[in-house]
Amino acid sequence: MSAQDTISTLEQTKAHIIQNPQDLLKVATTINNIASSLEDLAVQQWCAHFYHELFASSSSSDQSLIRIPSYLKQQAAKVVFPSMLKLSKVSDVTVYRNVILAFACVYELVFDLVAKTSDGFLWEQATALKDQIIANWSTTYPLKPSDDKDNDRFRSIGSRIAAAKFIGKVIVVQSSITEPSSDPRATAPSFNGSSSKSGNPNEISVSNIPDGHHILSKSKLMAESEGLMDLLLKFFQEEDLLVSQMFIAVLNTLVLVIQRRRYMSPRVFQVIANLDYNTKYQGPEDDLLTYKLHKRFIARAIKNALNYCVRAGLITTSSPFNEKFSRLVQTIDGRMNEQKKRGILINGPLDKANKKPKIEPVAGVDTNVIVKGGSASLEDTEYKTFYQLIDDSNELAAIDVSIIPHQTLVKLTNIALTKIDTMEFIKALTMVSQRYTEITIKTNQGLDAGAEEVKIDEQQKLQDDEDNAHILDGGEDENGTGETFNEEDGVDSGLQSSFVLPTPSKFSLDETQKQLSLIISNFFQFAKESENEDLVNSFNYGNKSSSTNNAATGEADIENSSINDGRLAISKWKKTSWLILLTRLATRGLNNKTERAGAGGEETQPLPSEEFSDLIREAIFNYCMENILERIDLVIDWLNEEWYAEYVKNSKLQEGQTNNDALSVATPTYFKWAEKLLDSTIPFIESSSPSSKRNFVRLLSDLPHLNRNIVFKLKSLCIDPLRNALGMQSLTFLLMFRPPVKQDCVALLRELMEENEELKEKAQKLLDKYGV
Amino acid sequence: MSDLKFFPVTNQINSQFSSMESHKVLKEAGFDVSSYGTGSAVRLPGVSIDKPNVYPFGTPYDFIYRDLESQNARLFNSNGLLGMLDRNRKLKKAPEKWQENSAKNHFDFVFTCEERCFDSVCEDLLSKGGLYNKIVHVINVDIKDDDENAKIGGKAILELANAFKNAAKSTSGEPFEDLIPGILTKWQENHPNLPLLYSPSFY
Repeated sequence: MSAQDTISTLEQTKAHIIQNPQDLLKVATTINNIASSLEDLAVQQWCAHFYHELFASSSSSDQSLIRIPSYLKQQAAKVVFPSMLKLSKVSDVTVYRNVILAFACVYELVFDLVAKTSDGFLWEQATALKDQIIANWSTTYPLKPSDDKDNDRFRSIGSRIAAAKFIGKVIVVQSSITEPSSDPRATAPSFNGSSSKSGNPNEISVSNIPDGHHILSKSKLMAESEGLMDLLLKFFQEEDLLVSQMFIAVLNTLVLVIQRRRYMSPRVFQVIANLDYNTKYQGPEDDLLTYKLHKRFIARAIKNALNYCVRAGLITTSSPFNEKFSRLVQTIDGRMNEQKKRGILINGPLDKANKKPKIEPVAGVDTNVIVKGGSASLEDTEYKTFYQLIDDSNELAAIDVSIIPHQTLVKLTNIALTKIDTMEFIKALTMVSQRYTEITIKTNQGLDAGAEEVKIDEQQKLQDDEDNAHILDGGEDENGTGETFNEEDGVDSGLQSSFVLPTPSKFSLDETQKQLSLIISNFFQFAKESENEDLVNSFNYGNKSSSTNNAATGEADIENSSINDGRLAISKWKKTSWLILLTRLATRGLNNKTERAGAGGEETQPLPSEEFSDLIREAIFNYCMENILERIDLVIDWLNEEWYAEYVKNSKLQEGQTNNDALSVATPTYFKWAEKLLDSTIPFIESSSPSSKRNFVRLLSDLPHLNRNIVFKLKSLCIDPLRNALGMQSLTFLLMFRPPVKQDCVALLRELMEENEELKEKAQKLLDKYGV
Repeated sequence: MSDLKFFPVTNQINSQFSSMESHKVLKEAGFDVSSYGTGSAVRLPGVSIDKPNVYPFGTPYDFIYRDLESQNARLFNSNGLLGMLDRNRKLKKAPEKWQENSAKNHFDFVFTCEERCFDSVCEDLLSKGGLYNKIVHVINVDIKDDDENAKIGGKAILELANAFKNAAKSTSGEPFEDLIPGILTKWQENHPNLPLLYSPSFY
């Protein structure tokens, strides 16, 4: 019978099982015999795929999947294990991957069967397959390794992804449902789950095995589970090449593990927090675009995993990682948006090739060449040149050892020390020692000679300071005649040195706009950098140092000073301080025509300040809309500043007019942007997301001023059948807490009553309740 | 991996054009295709910005078509909605929700046409716990959702699907998953305006 015929027969058998699951064991025996005896790859692939399909079956309604009860699967697993072991030795990734995935599906059932029946032989077979999968999870198995170990990290990915998933399953099954405690007073997990706070007490796990089981040693299994958890966690740290598929698969597996074993989450989060995928090397055959894509895929996977953990309650607001991960997700979003705007093929500042340096094998290193190639005379004083004992032309000189992981360096050094000839080593050390001696002598001589030069420099500096003071004083000469420094022809009026300030040329409107756009983009670049807490701290540290200096001269620290009476916008740099600067530039910095006219009085071409301010507003708006839920604080700060600045400006203009109360001062710019923001936000508010709802109501609550237009923006929300609850909730809130728009809310409710039959009852209830 | 199965997945807001166009071109090319939405409902533009047309998943395309036609046939013809719905009702009966239907069929690839949609699919797969231990490759091709871009995007997705199909049938001996990064890079080079996302996930 040909392989094709065999597969046709097997397909018929499979169809038979779908209709008659009770015949599974008979059929499994036949398939086991075929898979164990036939060497044809196509047949082996079919069998491995069938095993996976068989054990993955559950309540799925897809007719192509087989639906088999668990007890039958346990028996079938027992029957087909010999052939699964045989198939796991086949040198084909598809076969091996499906065997692993099939075993991952059935592992807990096998575990359960062994726990109940003490079937030592079945456990022996299962352990053999498990050990093989674990031992090979980071190798190219079932493919043979090549000469290039780095390239091998990118091979057999299918089986390695499957192995990661299998290891995750073993960790879950072989770990306690509740966190193991060393405190004997802690209640042990029981079968009825009375002490279980996480995990399902009825699930199959090591927790359900009685102590002293004949076959299954509880402590050994739990220790193995711990070891496997370490194995997955260490992957992030130890894998120095960016194999995105593996990073993502391991990350997803770890998230699936902590879904079932919540107490393991701090370790997983710690590792995610420490993961710096930007430092991982690109694959030996990867070009820059592939490397960029690998980074992009990993970044998105991290973002999605963290967002999922937040939604699943694995990360809460009280979690120590919450803030760090929020920043991380924002940074990833920022980078991705930037990449999207720039174009995927255009390289940004972080898009640099990062090839792993090739390290020659120790056995190939000729220590004679190294020492003879070195030079005892030292021209420059770079630290590394003290120790370089080879010619610059030698390829080894190009390697930057500082980027090699510390552990690897220690290993390399140990091996090198055991192999090197002692005499050659002493010679090399002597040469380094001579260099130190030479440079120390030169430095001492240089210090003596430099003392004179310092005196001359100081005189020059004194002269320059006098000249600068002369310019800053308005250029008046010593006699006070009022003669000024002639900028245009550059005449030096009485200056002792040749220090001349360059005259800036005046910008055209286009140039001004270009420069303003540059300033705006710098602000957003700064916003991204401000995500880095260290940078923010270092900024404050710098300020603190300077304020400490001031303190020495009698000035108080700015935070505690008398000038900080609540009117200072920024007394300490925070990560959102950039927004204060940018919004004030838009509202007060550029938009100050009246003040300038009063102050200068000279005839200057008026700037289209409103247009420029709108450039900034548009940029802030776009930035906020990139992630409106995360940036709601920024939105509120911005719109409050818009309203306040406009209110103050327009109140001054209305001074002297009657009816000058808060409501009569017009703030059209504020309303324009508030309405635009709501127009862009309302269609995307999901009523099913609590954070989305909360943030939206908060936005309505914190907007400084509302009007009828804004209230009527809620209409689209109210008439949407899936989101009208949120719409009505928002209206209720406004009725209760924003009295100035109460009448507008009532008008909207009446309109809704008239136009929408479904909302009639709800609207009537609200109208009755609030006494209108 | 000889018979690859594909999912184009849409978001509920407005990527009806791109995902269903992808569904159409993949189906016409002979792939086993299903399409789903990830949002809470099917939302389509209405006669004015504050009156969107919202339908629950499962509402037949034919019903939606007739409903919009009765509202303002001229408007919905001119913005392409009726044309799109006419095409969709020939492809499948009604829009379906990913979260409710993804477990019915296990596909090798899930294509999304919007980044938010990609995130929803990845998070949904995580939330389902990977119980089936089946690898699924989720890929996002970011397509601007209008008729013209949907056609360009649909063709580009077909190119990608064909590249995967050829790789799966390749006799070079290289495992399929090992070829995926190379295929994605080559495709991205040819389509720089359609930024990719990719995640190997588990059913």
